[in-house]
Amino acid sequence: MGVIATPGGGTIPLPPGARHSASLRAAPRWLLLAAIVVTGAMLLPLGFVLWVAVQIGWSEIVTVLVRPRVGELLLNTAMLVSMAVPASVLVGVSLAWLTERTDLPGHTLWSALAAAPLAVPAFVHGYAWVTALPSFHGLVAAVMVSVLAYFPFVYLPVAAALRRLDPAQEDVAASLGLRPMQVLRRVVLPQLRLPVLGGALIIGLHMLAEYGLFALVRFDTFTTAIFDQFQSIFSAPAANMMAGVLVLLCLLLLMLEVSARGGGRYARLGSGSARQAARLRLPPLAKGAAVLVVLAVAILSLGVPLMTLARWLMLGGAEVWDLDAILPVLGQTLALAAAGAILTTMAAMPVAWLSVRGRGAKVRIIEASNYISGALPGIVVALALVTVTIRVARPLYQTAFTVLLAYVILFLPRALIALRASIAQAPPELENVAQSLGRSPFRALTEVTMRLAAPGAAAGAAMVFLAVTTELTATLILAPTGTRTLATTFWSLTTEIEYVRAAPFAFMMIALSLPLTWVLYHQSRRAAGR
Amino acid sequence: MTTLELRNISKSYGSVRAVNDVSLSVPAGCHTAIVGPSGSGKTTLLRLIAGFEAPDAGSLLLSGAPLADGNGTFVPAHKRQVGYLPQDGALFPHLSVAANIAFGIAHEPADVRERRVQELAEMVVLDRAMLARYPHELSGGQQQRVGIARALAQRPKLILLDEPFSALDTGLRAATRKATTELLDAAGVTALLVTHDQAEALSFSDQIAVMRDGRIAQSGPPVDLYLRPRDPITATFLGDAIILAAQLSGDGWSTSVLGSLPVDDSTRLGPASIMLRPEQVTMVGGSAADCSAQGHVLDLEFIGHSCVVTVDVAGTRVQVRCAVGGAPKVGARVSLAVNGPAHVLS
Amino acid sequence: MLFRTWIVAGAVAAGLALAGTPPAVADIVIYNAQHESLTKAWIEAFTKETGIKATYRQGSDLELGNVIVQEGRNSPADVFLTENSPAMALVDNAGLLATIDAATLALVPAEFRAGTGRWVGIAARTTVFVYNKAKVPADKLPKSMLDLADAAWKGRWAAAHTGADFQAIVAALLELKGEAATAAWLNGMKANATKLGGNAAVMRAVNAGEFDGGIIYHYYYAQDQARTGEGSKNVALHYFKNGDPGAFVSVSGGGVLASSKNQQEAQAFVKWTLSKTGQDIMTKSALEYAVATGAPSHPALVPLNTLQAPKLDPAKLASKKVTEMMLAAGLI
Repeated sequence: MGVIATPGGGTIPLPPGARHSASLRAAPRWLLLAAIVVTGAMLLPLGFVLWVAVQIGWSEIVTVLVRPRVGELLLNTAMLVSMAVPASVLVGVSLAWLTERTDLPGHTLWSALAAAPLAVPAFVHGYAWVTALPSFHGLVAAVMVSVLAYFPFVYLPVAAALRRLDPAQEDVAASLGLRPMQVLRRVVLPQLRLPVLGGALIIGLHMLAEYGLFALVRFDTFTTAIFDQFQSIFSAPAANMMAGVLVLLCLLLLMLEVSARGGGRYARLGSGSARQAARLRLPPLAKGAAVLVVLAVAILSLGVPLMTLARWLMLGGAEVWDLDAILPVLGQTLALAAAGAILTTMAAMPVAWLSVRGRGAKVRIIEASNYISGALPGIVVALALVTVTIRVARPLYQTAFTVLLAYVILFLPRALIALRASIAQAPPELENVAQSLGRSPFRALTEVTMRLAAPGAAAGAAMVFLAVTTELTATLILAPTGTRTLATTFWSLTTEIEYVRAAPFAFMMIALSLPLTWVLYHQSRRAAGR
Repeated sequence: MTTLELRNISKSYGSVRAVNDVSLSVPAGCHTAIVGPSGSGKTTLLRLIAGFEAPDAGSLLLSGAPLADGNGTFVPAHKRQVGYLPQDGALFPHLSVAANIAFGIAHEPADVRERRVQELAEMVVLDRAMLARYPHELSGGQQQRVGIARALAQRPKLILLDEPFSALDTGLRAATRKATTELLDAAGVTALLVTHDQAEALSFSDQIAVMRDGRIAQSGPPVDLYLRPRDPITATFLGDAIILAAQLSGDGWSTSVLGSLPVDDSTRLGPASIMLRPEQVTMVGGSAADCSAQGHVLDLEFIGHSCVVTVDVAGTRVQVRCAVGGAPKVGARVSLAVNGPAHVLS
Repeated sequence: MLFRTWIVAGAVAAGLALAGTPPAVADIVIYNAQHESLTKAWIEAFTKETGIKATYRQGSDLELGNVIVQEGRNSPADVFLTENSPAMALVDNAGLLATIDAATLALVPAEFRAGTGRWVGIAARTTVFVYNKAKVPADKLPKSMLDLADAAWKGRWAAAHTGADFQAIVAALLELKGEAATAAWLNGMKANATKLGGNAAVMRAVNAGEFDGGIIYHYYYAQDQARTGEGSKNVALHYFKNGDPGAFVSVSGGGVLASSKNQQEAQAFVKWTLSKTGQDIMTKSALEYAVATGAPSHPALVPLNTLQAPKLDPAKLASKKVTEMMLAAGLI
C-alpha cells in the first residue's frame, strides 16, 4: 500500500527505495530479528482470521456468510462508505479551497475550525447528535455524522497541498488563456489527487472500523454486527468469519486506493515556493455564500457537539464531577495510554530503521505487513487476541500485556510514520562516524540515530497516546478485570442512557485531544513552509 | 614502515564488481589520495578500509595486523581505531562541539577528556568559545575542523577522509585543504583521502592512486603521475593534456605535428601517443624562428586568469593557454614552442 | 539514547501498564452482566458490611457466559451475575457451577431458582409491551406478544434484540410454543420490528413517538418514572398476562463458579444479595422485583403475583438454540 493514516490526515508516500546506504546485509542481525518479531505480532490478527477459516471449513463458511443478514450488512457498509467518503471529500476540498485560495474573510480562523472536529472522538460526535436529536438515526444520520467527524482527514492534507502548489503553474495556465475556474479544474484539482485519495482511504478505513458512532445512530455495519454477535455468543465462527469479511473489505479499500493512485504514486508536489498563490477575489454574493458554507460546517461539526456537551454538563452541575470515581479512571487511562505509546514507539523503531536504511524485497514485505495490519479494525484485533489468549496463551489472557499488544498492533503505523520521517533525516554517515569512533553498531544506532529521531519518536508516541485514550472496542474486550478508561466508562454510561454522567468523560477526552489536534494543524501548516 | 597494506582486495554488490583486485600500500605518515570519477569504486574502497563493509576477497593489514582477510577474519569498524571524516563533517547535531570532539574518548576520565579536547581545539585553531556551541552555529570550515579534531581524539594510526572539502565553497576549499594537510602533518597521522577532484588530490598527497572501474589504474607520487601518466584517460583525468600521434625514433626524439620534440623514452621506436601539458607550450604571434610549429587560431575562450586558444596545426587541433593580455585574434597566425620533453603514453 | 534508556523505557511502560490495569486487590472477582450501577452499589455495601473486597468485569449475559465456558476450569471469576437465566443455564450445563449453599437456596421460592440448585435468582423482571399512549388506544393493544408478528404491526414496534434480555424472552417463547412457532414469529419480527441498542433506547424511541410500541422489561419504565419521568411521560405499560410468552418473568441469576478458590466469600456474596439490604438496594435503585421470600418489591410496581406469568423452569431456558434461530432469521 502506498499511504497510511496519520491522525492529522497527512499521507506520506512510501520512499522509493532506500538511499545508497547500509545494505540489508549490513543491518545488524538483532535489528532484523526484532523487526521480524514485531511484524509477526502485527500479522497475528490476519493469521487468526485465516486460521479460523481453515478450521471451520468451506461449507461452514458458506452457511455462516451466505445469508440475507450478511448481504444486508454488506449493502449497509457499501452505502455508508460510498456516500460518506465522497461527501467528506467534497466538504474537505471545498473548505480547503475556500480557506486557502479565496479572500474568504477570517480564513485563518476557519482553517483552524476545520481541523478542530478531529479533537472530538467519533463516538462523542454520535453521542452529541443522538442526545440532541433523539430521532436522528439510520443511514442519513450515519453518513452525516461521519462526514462531520471525519472530513478533517481530507481537509488537512488538501489544505497543506494547496499551500505547497507552485503558483507559477497557475500563472502559466492563465497565460495560456484559462479562466480562474478552468485553472482550478484543469491545473489545481488534478494535483490534489494524492492528498484526496490518502484522506479518503483514512476515512474509509475509519468507517469500516468505527463501532460507537454507528451503534449510537443505530446503523448496522459489519463492525457493529460483529460486536453484537460477540455480546451474544462471544468468539463464535459467525463473528470470526464476519471479521474475515471485514478484513477483506479493508484490503479492498487499500487496493482501490493504490490503483487510483496509479502512476502518480510518487509524484511530488512542489517543494514549496517563496511566493504564495494569489487568493481568488470572490464576488460579494459568492463571498456571502462561502461564509455561510464554512459557518454551517463549523456549527454542525463543532457547535452541535460542544453545545450538547455543554448542556449536559450544565444539567449535571458539580454533582457529576464525582472525583472519587473520575480520577481513578483518568489515571488509568493516562497510564495505559502512556504505556501503549512507549511500547508502540519502541516496537516501531526496528521496523522504521529497516524501512529507511534497508533494501530489498524482505524489507518492503516487512514494511507493507505492518501497514496492512494497522488498517484492521479494533474489533478484529480484539477478537483475534481474546481467542488466541484464551485458547493457547492462557497466562496472557485478560492481562495488561494483551491489551497493550492490541494497541501496538492497532497504532504502530502512526508511530512508524513519524519515526521513519525523522530517521530519514538522520544521515547514515553519522552512524558510520560513531562506529569509527569506537561505538558498536547497536550503540551507534541508539546513541546517534535514535537520539536524533527522538522528536519524531515523541510525535509518534503522542499520536499513539491520543489514539489509546479514545480506543473503545479492543479495550472493552481485552482489558484486565477492573480496568476502566475514559472511553469505556463513557460508553457504558451512554448505553445506560446516563447522558449527564457520561458528559464529564466526553469532556476529558476532548480536552486531552485538543493540544494534539492543534499540533497536527500547526504541523500541516509548517510543513507547507509557513 | 607501512601503516596500511591492501592485498588483492575485491568487493562485489550483486553482479557489480565495485572493487576489483586492488593492492595498495600506504607508508606511515604518508598522505595518499584515491582519485577517480564517481562509480570508480573509491568510496567502496574507503568503506572497506574503515570496516563498514567486509571484502569478499583479499586481505587488509593495519600496522601489520590483519583487519580482514576474506576467510573469516573481520575486525568491525568500532574496533579498528581508524579515524573517519566524511563529506560535510557529519558532526552530531545533538551534541556540542566539545562533546563531538570527545565522542571517541568517552571511556577516558573527565579531566583527561577535557584536556584532550582543549589540546585538539588549539590544534585545529578553534576558539575556546566555540566548544560550547552546536554544529549548526558553525561555518562550513569550522565544522570541518571539528570533524578532524573529533577523528584525531582517539589518536588513530590512520585517518580516512571522504571528499571532505567538496561541500565547501571554492575559496574556502583550498584554504581548508591546506590547513588540513598541515594539521595532519603536525599530528603525524597517516591519511587516506578519497576525492574526484584532481587538484585536491595533487595538492594534498604524497601518493596518488587513480581508480577506474574498480581497479587502480596507476599509483605513485603526484608529480610522477601528472607528468608521466600511463594512459590518455589518466592523463586527461589529472589535468588538461595535449595528446598527439607521433613517430618515435628510438633515440629520445619524436616527430609530430609540433615538429621534432624530445621525449622521456629513448628506447621505443615507431608510432606512439605523446602527451604534453598545456603549460609546456608557449605561443607567440606570427612566425618565430625558434618555434617548432606554426598554425592559425581557430577559437578563443576566455576563462578568467587565462585564455584557452585552439590552434590548427597542420590539420590537428592543439589547445594551449596564453595570458589574457597577449591573446591573438581568431584567424591569426601563431607559432608554438615546447619546453621540456613530451611524455610517451603506453 | 543509550541501551540503558531502552531498558528504562521498557520498565516505565511496564510500570504504567500495571498502574493502568490495577491488579485485583479484591478477594472475589465477579463477572457481571447485571446493570453496572446495581452491582457497584451491591459491592460497596457488601464490602462495608463484611470486609470482603470484590471487583467486577462488565459484559453482557451471553458474552460473559461464553467467556466462562471458554475459560473452563481456569476461569478467574468467582461469582457470575446475569440479568437473565439462559446465560446462567449455559454455564451450569457446562458443569462449571458449584452448588449453592442450602441456606441461600432456602431464601428463594422454587420458581426463582434453578432446579439443579447450582444458581439462585437474585432479582426478577417482567416482560411488558411499552406503548405510546397517543398512538395506540387501549383497545387496539395486542392480545398476545405473538400478534406483533402480524403484518398489521409492520414498522410499528422496536426491540433491543441483540441483547440478552430479549433473547431470554425468545428462549421462553421457544420453551412454551416450540421451534416452528418461534421461527415463524422471529421471521415476522424481522419484517416488522426495528433493532435498537437497548431497552432504554426502545422506551425513549416509543416515548418520542418514533414507534407505537416496543418490548422491554418493566423496570426501565419504573426507573424513569422514579426519576424525572421525562423519558416515559408519553408511554404506558401493557401486561400480556394469561400465561402469554409476553408475560414471561425473567430471573436474574447469581452463581458461584466451581473453580473458584474463594468459595466461602463467593457464596457469602450471593447469599448477601438476597439479604434484606441486598434486596432493598436492588428494589430501590433498579426497581426489579425482589425474589427473596418476604422481601418487598417497590410499591410502585404492579405486584408480581398478579402478572399471570407462564410457568417455566428458568434453568431450562436455552441460549444456543435461540442465537442460532435469531441468526437464521437475520436478526443478529
